[in-house]
Amino acid sequence: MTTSDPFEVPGVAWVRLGPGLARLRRLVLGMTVVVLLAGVVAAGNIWPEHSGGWWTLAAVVVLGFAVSWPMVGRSVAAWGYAERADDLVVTRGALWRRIDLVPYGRLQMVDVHAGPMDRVFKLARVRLYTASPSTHAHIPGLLPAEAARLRDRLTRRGEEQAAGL
Amino acid sequence: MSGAEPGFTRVHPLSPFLRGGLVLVALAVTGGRQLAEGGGVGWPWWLVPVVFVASLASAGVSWWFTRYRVGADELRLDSGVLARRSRRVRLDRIQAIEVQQPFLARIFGMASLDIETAGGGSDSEVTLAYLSLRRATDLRRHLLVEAGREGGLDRAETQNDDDELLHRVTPGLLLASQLLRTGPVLAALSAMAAATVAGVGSAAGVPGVVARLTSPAAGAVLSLTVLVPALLAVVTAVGKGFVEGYGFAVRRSAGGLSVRAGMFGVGSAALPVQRIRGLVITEPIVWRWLGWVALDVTVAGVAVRPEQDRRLATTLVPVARRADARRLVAQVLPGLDLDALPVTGPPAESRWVDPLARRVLGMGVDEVHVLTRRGLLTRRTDIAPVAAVQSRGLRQGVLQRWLGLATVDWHLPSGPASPVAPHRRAEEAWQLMLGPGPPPPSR
Repeated sequence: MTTSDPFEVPGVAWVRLGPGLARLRRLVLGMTVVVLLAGVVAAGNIWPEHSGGWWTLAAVVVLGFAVSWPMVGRSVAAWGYAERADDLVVTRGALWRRIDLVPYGRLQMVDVHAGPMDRVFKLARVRLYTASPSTHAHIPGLLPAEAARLRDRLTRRGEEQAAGL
Repeated sequence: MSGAEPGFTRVHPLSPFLRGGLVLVALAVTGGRQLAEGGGVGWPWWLVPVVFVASLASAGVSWWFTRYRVGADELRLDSGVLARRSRRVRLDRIQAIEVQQPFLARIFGMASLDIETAGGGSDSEVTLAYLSLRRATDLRRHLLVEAGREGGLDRAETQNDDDELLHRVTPGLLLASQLLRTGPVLAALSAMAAATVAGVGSAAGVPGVVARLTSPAAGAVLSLTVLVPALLAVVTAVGKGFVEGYGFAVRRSAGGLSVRAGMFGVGSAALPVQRIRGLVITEPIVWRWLGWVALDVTVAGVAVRPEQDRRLATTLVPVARRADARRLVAQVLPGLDLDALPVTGPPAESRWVDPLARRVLGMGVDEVHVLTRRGLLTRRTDIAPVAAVQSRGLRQGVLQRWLGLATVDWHLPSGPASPVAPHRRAEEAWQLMLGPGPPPPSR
């Protein structure tokens, strides 16, 4: 198994996330920009003598929005996971990329978590725990039913292959 | 001793003095001074002996009602005057027994016996305080035999003086090593550099900004604001390292190794060999010239214990000469041959990401161990049994991606060891991820 790009693993078909997570993040981004712009407009009306500064600030906010919007898509598209025979592989990150590889036998706990925003968008996050606090493998943006199925599958495989600590 | 029920024993009569020891000493000192000065500092002088006697009496009453009994299969500890409390510890549930000697107790030859049972919470520890050191040691041995009878004792035990001594750190070496750590050395060098610049500047009468910066007044300001706090921090760190590591001894105990150290309060901790999940060899730059190393270990299950115990429980030796360190390493990772493990550096491309430290970066894996090396000034070598690796991570930044490099992390149970191999070739990195990993499950 040799490749010059470790993120294109032969024989591994990444399961990508659905559109839900991108929608959620874009909504959060949009709301943040609206709040920031409203703040700038309000400040510009209160202290009109610095109008040049306020316009610059507004431009910076808009520019940040323009850069962040496509980055959300890239970052969400970069998430993926693959259930291999003996381990789960999770990849994430568009610019700073990473892969986490967790053998099923090392799993101590798998949990499904959904924050308030996740619930609005009907999303859930699966998190994997081993005996090491450095294990940060998690998969966001799953449908709750899908997340529950993944958790049950991982838990079962973990029990089957328990290598102990 | 007269107990209400047969078989009960009280802790040592000196206990009330030792428990409230510092309060009593403080009161006695204050009281003495008050008496000597003839009172008149706001509260009547007779209050001091009253408080003194009252606290002594209450500690005494509490002592009178504290009894313990070691039965065939349980230890029972009754305490409390108004609210009686009776705790029972099943002997086969005992996980660890430690003899502790706080400073005051040590002066009087007393010791407390901390008995830890399965569960790990704050309620899972029973303390018998205080017993004579001899009684504590004897009782500990007795309880260990009883606890081990059922095979419930899976942890190595803390040490006895009659355990085989493997290594002892001499105070001279310890002090020298603490002074020659990278921090103090750098602090001393920068202080000398600052002094030289200031001295040369004022002697040569350099004009302009330099002169102003290096005038005696500026020098005084500099030394007060920067050098003195820095010096204090260094002295504190060195002193702490010396006090905590004083008399450091490694012994072979039941189930593994144990360490004991401390100048004022002697602490001890067990290092059960079968629970060791990683090792860190630390070599500050000056130590490397002198051939000294420090060894720290990752022990499974230590993370849940309080901070004070944890530092000792993860230290195999604070400083040792290489040959001694080698012997100790062989004790904790018996299968490891440091010379046989092929350690390779990152490829030449890594100079664009990490031009300086890349020279010391190294990584070696075989079927059993993984070893990584890093750190330009303080070199650290992290070693872990492959079987202890919980998961693996591969990271690639933008620059690394252009160069075809990636960084690999091995995730271990919490502790000092954290092997990481930065800037490996991408294809090698993926191989490391798949690694000789945990043994494939038998099917």
